Amino acid sequence: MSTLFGFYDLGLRALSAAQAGMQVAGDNISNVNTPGFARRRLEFVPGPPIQMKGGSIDQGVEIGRLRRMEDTLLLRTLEKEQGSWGEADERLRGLRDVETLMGTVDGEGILSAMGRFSQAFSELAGQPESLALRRGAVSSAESLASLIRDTHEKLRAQQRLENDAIANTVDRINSLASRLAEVNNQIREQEVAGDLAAGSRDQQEKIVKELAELSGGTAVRTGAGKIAFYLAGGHTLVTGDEKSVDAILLETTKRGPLGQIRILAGADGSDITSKIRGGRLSAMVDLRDNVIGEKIADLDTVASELIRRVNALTTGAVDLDGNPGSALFQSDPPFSRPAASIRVDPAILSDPRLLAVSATGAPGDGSAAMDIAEIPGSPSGTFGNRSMTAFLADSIARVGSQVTETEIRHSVAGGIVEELEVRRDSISAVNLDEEAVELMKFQSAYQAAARFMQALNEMTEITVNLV
Amino acid sequence: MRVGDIALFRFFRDGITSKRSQIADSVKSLSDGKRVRHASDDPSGARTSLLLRGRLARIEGYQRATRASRFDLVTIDQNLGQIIGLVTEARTHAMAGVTGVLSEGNDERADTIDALRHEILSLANVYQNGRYLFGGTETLTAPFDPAGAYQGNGDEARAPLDQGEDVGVTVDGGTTLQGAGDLFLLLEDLAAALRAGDTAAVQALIPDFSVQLDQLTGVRNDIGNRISRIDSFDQRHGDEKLRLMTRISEIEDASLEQIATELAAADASVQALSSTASRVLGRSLFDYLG
Repeated sequence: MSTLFGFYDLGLRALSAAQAGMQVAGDNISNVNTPGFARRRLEFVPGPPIQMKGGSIDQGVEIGRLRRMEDTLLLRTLEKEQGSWGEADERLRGLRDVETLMGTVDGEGILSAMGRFSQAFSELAGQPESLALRRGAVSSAESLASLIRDTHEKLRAQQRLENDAIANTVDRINSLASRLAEVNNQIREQEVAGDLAAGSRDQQEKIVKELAELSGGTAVRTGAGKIAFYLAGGHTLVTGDEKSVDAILLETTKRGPLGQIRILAGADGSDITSKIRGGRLSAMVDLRDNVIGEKIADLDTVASELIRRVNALTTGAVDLDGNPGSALFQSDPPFSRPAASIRVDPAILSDPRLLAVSATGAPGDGSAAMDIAEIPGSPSGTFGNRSMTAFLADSIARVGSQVTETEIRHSVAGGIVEELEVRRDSISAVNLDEEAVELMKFQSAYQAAARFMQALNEMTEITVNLV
Repeated sequence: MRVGDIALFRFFRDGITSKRSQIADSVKSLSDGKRVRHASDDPSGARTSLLLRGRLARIEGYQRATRASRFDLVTIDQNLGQIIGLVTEARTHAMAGVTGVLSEGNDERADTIDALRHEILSLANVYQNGRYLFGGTETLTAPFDPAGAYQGNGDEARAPLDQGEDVGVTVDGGTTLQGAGDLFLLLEDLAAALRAGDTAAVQALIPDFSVQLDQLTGVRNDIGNRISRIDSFDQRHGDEKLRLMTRISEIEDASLEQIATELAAADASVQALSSTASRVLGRSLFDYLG
């Protein structure tokens, strides 16, 4: 049977339990707006029973396990979808940038410059001896060349931005992988010491979520609170070793004339750039190497064809002074990167009399100008029997379609992530009403325990006064 | 379902952000009247619109080219009309020289013929917009020298009417004025015969004037046909331009009624969300605890 003083222990445990409950509720309330925070709940268990006359009775309450309220299955699904959403979000951002660079439908762009080029040469064809019209035609050619160069340069700048973003993202992935390995080890140590490591687990989930979004990789919970992380293709980023967790960091190297960042597996140094699937990183690689690369190639094809066909006509014609014509367009070096350097011959730009549009040598013959005017609109084998303008319109429309498709994927992936987050929050997020109830509950428990202590004190005093 | 406070904040935040984004899009459409600005707004519509705009630019190019050419052809037509009048006048003088009193005014008639020849030469050497119109494609050299020798060539400067279609915008003065016998030489011969009082010679020259008039009228008819052809293409281009612009407008322009409705709906949603958020957010059981 418990002694009177034994009751003090019972009261103290009740007060401590109420205080601990208040502390957990206070912690939950403090983190009501902390992203990734999983609310805690304290479990209470009856104290060990003691035998007394008539049976056993519990020795009050004991503080049990502190639980993080989470659903790991749901978290795994959320991480997987986070990678898909990250990929769609990054791709959408990049595609919109590319679309803006290609020009608006009704505004200034290569196609409208091409229209003005044809107009100017049509006009010149009717009056090839007119210096004013020659100046207009040469100027329209330079304006077209300048827009092609400008768009090419902007696309290249965008490609460089994606390249830098790839390098920064790889750095961030490495930093997160190192941090995940550290947190994994911390959790192991804390749990060995009997701690729930709730704060570290919150951090761990946050890191894994960002890693999944950036890399599209998969987290595998290996037990005892550790999380291994694998990239697509099976490359291990963070090991889930039982004793010691390590991060195998990615490496980068610059290759090619443009200094493209290549991603190398840290373990064997193999190039895994094209093996990255999902996540923001794969979208950046695709934007740099495929989407923007394709647009630059399209511009090069247009510039190259424009140079070839226009120059074939002007070099076969005669200028206003009856001299053999020279090439209207130049590029440097010839035809390797035509869109980067297409320009009108400076001599023709400063003296439009040198523009050769007469096939017969007579100043009133503008037949070459008439043929030049038709170049953008006439079909060519280079463009699959489409015209140059149709080829460009298709190229612009293709970016538009890619944006639209990605918008749909982004919306679907965003909807799934949102739904999963709602479900995660329904388990893990803090609800202030609930915490208010918890506070009231523990406050009442504390008051009751305090009254118990007061009664105990009065009993003790009576007993002492008997002595 | 259990709802966390952070989730509730997120519902309202995402809802209001999404509706505000819709409002921004609607306001943009209202301000410029456009539904399609970027290819992604309607990829296939944008492609069609870009191609239609390309064709529109080509049509405007043809129209500008033919407008200047038409002006030149009208001048050629007017000058040919005047030349025909002057040749007719010369023939009248020749006939008067034969039927009238030959001795009276022979020299004056010869002087008049010289003046007519000079005037015809001047009309054939017309220079407009920096080019001679009667020299074929030799447009920078006067077609006829003072002696009446042709300096031009037998070609015609041509202007585009449409893809694969063009029209001559100058004439070969050699064929026009000297193809059916040299008009200038004919006038010189007439003046000489008048001065010499050679009625038979004058008489013999009269049929040549008819041949010249037939030749000139034939060329003038051809010029008239060219002008009609230009007008026909211009009319066709005008119709096509209108059709293209209508089609582009159908693709690109926004329906103001639809935008206004969407704008009102989105605005009502934002107001409802804001009002609900202000009532719901930040209120919890704590507000009722004493």
